[in-house]
Amino acid sequence: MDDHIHPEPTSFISKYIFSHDHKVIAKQFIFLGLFGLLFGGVMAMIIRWTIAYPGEPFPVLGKLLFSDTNGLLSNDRYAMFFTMHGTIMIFFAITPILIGGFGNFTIPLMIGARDMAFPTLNMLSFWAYFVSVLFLAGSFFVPGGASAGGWVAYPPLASTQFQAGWGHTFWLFAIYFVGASSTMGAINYITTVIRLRAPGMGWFDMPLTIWGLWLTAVLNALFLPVLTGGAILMILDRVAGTHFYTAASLGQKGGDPILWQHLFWIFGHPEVYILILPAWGIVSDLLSFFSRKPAFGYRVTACAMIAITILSALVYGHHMFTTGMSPMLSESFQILTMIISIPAAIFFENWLHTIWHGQIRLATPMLFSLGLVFVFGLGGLSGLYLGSIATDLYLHDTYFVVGHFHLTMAAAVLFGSFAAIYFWFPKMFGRMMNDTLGKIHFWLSVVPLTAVFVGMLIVGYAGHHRRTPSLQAYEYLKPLQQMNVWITVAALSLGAAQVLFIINFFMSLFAGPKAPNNPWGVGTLEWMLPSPPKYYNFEKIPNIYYGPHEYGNPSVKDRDWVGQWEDPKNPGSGGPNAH
Amino acid sequence: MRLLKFAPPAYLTKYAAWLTGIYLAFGHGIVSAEQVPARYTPPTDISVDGHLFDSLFILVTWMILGLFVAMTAILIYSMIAFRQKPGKRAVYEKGDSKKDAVKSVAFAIAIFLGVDGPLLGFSHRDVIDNFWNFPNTKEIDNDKDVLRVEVLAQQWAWNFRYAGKDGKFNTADDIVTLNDFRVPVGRKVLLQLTSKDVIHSMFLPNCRIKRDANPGEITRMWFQTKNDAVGDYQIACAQMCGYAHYLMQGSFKVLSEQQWTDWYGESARISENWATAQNEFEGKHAELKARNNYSWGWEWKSQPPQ
Ligand SMILES: [Cu+2]
Ligand SMILES: [Cu+2]
Repeated sequence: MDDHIHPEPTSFISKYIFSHDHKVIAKQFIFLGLFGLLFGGVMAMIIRWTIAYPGEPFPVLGKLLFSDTNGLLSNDRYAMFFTMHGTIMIFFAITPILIGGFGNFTIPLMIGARDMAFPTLNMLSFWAYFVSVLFLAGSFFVPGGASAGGWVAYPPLASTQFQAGWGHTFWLFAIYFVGASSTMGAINYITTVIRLRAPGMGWFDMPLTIWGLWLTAVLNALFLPVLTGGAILMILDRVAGTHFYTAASLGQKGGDPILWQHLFWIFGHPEVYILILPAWGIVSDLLSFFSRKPAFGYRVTACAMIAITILSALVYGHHMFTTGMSPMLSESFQILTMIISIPAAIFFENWLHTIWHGQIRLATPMLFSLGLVFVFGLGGLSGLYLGSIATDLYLHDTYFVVGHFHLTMAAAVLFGSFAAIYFWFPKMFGRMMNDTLGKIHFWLSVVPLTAVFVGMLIVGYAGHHRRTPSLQAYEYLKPLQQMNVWITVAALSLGAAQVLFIINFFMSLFAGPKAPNNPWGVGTLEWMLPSPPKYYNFEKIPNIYYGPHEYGNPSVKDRDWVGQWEDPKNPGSGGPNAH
Repeated sequence: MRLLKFAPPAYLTKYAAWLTGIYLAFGHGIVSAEQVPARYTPPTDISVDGHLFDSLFILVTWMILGLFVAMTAILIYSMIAFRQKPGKRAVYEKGDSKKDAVKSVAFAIAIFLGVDGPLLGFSHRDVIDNFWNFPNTKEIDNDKDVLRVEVLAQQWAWNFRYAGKDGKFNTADDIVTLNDFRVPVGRKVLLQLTSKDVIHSMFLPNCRIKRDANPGEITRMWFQTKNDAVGDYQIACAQMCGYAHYLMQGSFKVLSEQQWTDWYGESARISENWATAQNEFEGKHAELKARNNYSWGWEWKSQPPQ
């Protein structure tokens, strides 16, 4: 593989647009993802505002966006907003940032490869993704507006009978291209990790970040095609008049609307782990890096990740307890779901054990990692109520569910993304981010974020069902209005805090202090390279002698870390490959 | 919790909005919540099984609260006690021995058995003995012990059908109501549900249950109200069913035995009269018989799919 060095592209287009370089593709994904995050975030603010302040237009934006309705978010637009908020946040913010972005950036660098196994496929994966973005953005402008049946798009509500127009069809095309993109990316990641690890790097010498990303890729390759296939059937239903998801009772030839729920959740539950596994991996590494202590029980953590990956494929029925699924099946899904507690408990144990008796540096990436442990703890524990049938029968489709999955998928994954951005920013752009601003950003985020989603758990418990722009139709929901106002206040504060991140990001991008090769004193392979690394990363592929978490090794005297590439005969010296 | 009992003062909400950087002091105030006393727990429990949910929820909360507090305490303690001190090194502890692995797996299994175990056990018991322990439909041929009701959900309303005098569904003397669900207090109620259009979900928050109403199939749900449950409640649609989903509420009245006899007797009488008139009419105009459109109902399924 050493001889596969192509010359560096010179034209702007081949360097920055149609790039084969995994580092450039990573940045493309991250910028798109951050844009998606901003977009989805503003939508969330408008949604929250509508619930809390009925009849009040959202400041400034309301009048601009909804001039025809006096600046108010009408009911049909409200449905579009929460549908698109979910879709954007999942497929167009978190997926591109953590998987497309940091997957691309870290995999070759951390395993000692010059690029992905299939650079052209990698480029195609991004451009398929871009096509998907175009479809999604376009769907806002077609007659009838964007998809409005919830991000789960249950038929018959998702059929042309109840959502005429091209909005939902565009949505399906967007999903189709996201699926294609993710499948291409997954094949690439899986192959790269299997084939291109630097000599000496066994499976259990890989950073846990790579474990997380690799297992995510496996799940992506297995389960996104299920969603993509399901979406094709729905496109056929909408465009070609087939009846895969129509119910016989509608006076038409019958398929089965519930079929979509099965296909969707066979994908949908693994999707939760597709999103969270990279964050877990990153945080497992960062907790060790910033505690200056080896990751406790590394192998057990990796095996717990594998176990969760397998289990995630077997539990999807817990989303369907109220559909009338057979009790036997429901109970089986209930038990399998609960078993996930075992590997999850192992993570928490090992995370806490890693920081215990460490020498903790509370830099921004570490704060966000600790924050992830906290919010994921809340999210994971609140999942117990939903995995058990007797409690789910009441809590299903309430804000309890919304709070729960936001704590796991949104809060935890968001914190994982922020940890990753603050941590790898120097390597990615060659400049340091401002640590003080970063810390303020963390504290101003973690407090309102917890308030928002714990608040949702509380109103859900009190009976507030989902997808309600107003509570006034129900006597028993009126007492929850105050709590909802509080949630909105917290959400707006959370949104406001993100301005600090945007400022920090762009200021550092253009004017941050130059980053040294290894600002954090970390021993994984990317930190032996200059910041940012050169095209094709490694002049000479390093040999691997150490695991990724050699901190406080007593055989090394003058510093508390050892690079994976360093010669064990002379560790701590920087080794033959050090720059 | 005490703090939360008050609506946030207007200046605070305004301040938060200002913080977003988009509230440019446009001068219009923020509507504060209608002054209803706040509630943070489920609405009144009116069914004989509802307490099963309530107690299980509290039990789980206490169990995981222990875990959560321990975790948070360790996080905060570590952040303070193990802050980096110059010149100091962390313990070089990899935790990669067999013993460590066994220990952590054993601990995780202990948590599973200690927390998930009881939860699974109670959930299994409650589902099998109560929530999904449907009254035996084969033995039901009148509504004396178990009141049967057919529910047809549609965008955005609830239709209810009672059997009427003849005890048979989908006949001319059925009692049919719109968004008006009445049951006698203390009697078991067995529902069969379906939908005319999209998927809905019949949610009775006061009974701690819900069940989807799917087009093309019949699902079922049952509950029994407590003897002191007489009163007015609400049905919610829990499943997203279109842009007016949030308005899809129905009235749910639990009647005393006397009120029930009055209402049901009167309704059955009207339905019967109507049925008689209908029969007479059909006797004269046989060609119109097939056209009757009172029959969205179905023959009661004595053996439902599940
Ligand atoms: Cu799930
Ligand atoms: Cu509905």
